[in-house]
Amino acid sequence: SAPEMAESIQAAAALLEQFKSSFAKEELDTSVKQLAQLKIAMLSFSSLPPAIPAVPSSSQQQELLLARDVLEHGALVSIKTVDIPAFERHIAQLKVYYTHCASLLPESPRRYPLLGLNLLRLLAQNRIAEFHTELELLPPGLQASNEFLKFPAQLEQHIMEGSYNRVLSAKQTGTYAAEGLYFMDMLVDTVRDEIAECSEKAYKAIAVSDLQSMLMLGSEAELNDFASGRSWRIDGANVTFGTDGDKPLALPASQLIHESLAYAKELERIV
Amino acid sequence: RRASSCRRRAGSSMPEAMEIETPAKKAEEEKPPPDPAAFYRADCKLMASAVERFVAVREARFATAALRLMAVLRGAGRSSPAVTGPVLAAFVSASFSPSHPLRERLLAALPPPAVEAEPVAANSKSPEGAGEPKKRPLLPEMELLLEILVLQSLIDGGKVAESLPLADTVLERIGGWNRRTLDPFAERAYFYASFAYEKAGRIESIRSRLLAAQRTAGLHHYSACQATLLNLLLRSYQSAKLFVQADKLLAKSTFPETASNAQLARFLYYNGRIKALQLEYSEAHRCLLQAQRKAPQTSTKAVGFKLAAYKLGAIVQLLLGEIPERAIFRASNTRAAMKPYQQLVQAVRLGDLAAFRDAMTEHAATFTADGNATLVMRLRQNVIRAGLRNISLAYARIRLTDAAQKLSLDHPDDMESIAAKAIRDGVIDASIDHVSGVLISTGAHDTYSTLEPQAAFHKRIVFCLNLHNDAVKAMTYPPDAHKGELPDADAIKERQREEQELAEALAEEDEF
Repeated sequence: SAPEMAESIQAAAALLEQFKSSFAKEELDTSVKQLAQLKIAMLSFSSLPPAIPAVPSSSQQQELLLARDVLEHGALVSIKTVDIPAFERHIAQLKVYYTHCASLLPESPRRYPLLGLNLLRLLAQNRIAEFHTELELLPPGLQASNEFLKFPAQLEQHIMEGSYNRVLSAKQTGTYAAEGLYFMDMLVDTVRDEIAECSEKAYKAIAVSDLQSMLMLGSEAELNDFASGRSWRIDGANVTFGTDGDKPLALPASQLIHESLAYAKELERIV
Repeated sequence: RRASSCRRRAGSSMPEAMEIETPAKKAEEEKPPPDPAAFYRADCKLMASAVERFVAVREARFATAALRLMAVLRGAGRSSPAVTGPVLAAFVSASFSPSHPLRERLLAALPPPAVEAEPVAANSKSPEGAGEPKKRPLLPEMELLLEILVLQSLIDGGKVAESLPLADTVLERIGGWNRRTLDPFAERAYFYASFAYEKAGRIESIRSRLLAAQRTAGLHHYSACQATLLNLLLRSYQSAKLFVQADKLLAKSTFPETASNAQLARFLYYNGRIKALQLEYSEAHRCLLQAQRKAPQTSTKAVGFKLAAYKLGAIVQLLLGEIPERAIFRASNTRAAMKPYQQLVQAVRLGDLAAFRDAMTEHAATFTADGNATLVMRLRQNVIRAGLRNISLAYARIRLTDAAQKLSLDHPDDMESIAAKAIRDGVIDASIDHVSGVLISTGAHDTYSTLEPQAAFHKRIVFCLNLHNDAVKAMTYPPDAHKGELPDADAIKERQREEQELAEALAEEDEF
């Protein structure tokens, strides 16, 4: 079956070239169709995980390399077509290649950009615990030195500290300006909500133009929409937030009643 | 038991030896100073008898005695391997019958067996010197203990590569048996097998076998093995940083309640670490505090474990916003190791970002070696918050640029949004005037008018009530207190006889 294997590898390699060219030309529909065909072709490969041979022959190595390429481009396509579950699946499959086959295959140039995009996705979806778990898996020196990985880690720190203006400016200038646009948009929306909440608590009143630049909203009309969504009042040049004046401290009556009853019950038990 | 305690005095206080006093006394006078080989041999025999008693009677103290003797033998093996190696080989060759599949492998791993030319043999009247009176069949437990001893001697002697195949064989042998009495000894075997693989740097290869063993131990109700295996698996996941899998393992398995304190302490430590990474700091703090308490309290034992638990505990407390106690940082034997963490604590307490940065760069290697590097990086936010809190308490109004300077922030223009977030999270009580760029602190108001005292009281009351309930549950009667009231068998028989006589007497009266 060695010549058959070589043939199927050749066919798959040719299909991969076509796929790459249509992806480069941004023909997303054809790309998706070709990706499906490539995956069907991959079914005939015999040395893919979990059956990775310990010492692969050259044709088996080619198979693994091809499969990894297909998955990487599949991840990039799924971002372009905004298919996030598909992106998650591709990354999960790719992780096996990156961990177990690291010694068998040459280093892929798209590995760190893709891992960074995954981190960005977790951050944008507000899955902070998983974000930190993923961060743990990276070797410590890499996290500080690699551009692609440093970007999401720094973003997370900015969000935790509260320097949101940095996050908003990173959207324009960041490393992922091209591919990560979707995630950055999601992130910016989340951050904007946070800024709005902080502003409500921190400022008594603030000028409309200042608030607009803080929230990085394009025009005053957007600010009006935003404000009416959160029940702020705009009078003239200033925006005042709805929660002014001290509400009298409401007594949490039912909680106090529960606590007192618990004390009484326990004390009665003491003989 | 009495026979074994007599045998401890190797030599002349045997009742049989007393018959031939003169030659015995002479042999004792000529006897050389205490021979470690003789002690080792005696301990081996004691261990064998303890194991036999355990298998016969199933009382836990014999198992603990046997394990304690094994630890003593290992210590002797570590300090003087040249002396004890041959003695162990002799004991192994005597215990294993020639047809046993492992005899050759074990003897190959040890130095050549000692010739049995001890001074007691010169005293030919004593039954001790006549060699083993009868060949007792080798119990699986005894075999396991001897295999563990050989494994330990290989690991301690640095021959790690050769210990791996032996470890594999031991694991297979355990899998072949199904005996309840094997539990305490199999636990030690699993530990040392995993230890051998860890020393060889190949801890992943044993993981699947440990997982299978853990499932089997759960089915067989080997609680000691279950506890140890769970800890070994958590340790191997942690070294490979596979925290997702570790979390799933924790969710699916239960830690047996009857496990020893040592295993419980380890389990709590690993549990605490996993929770800390998943940002559940209060749960992690609780686990680590318990782990510190369950560790042996004498300051010379388990120092490495306590250091690891205290380091992680200090970081988690800092992340929660509390300052850890000073005692650990001051104690003489832990002071040097905790120095980097002490610098961190001081930086967080004062809110000094510059000191924090210095501590991070200076001790980055230590933090990475302890596996705490990522957690320490999360502390940056706490440093800023502590500093901001101090500023807000000290100043009624302060310009934001000045505040940024005091905090020595990298980017002073972030000050406004950082302050806004701190206000929203309730760290400081203030408001910002955007136009003039000033932070205005609202003064500290009367705490007694809020609900905080109630909450603090509630916590303390609940704690005291729980303490009371636990104390009541833990009370037991002294073990023999009820026997005074119950009549014993004789009194019962006496009473039954009397009743029977009375019944007969009544029946006779009726006949009348």
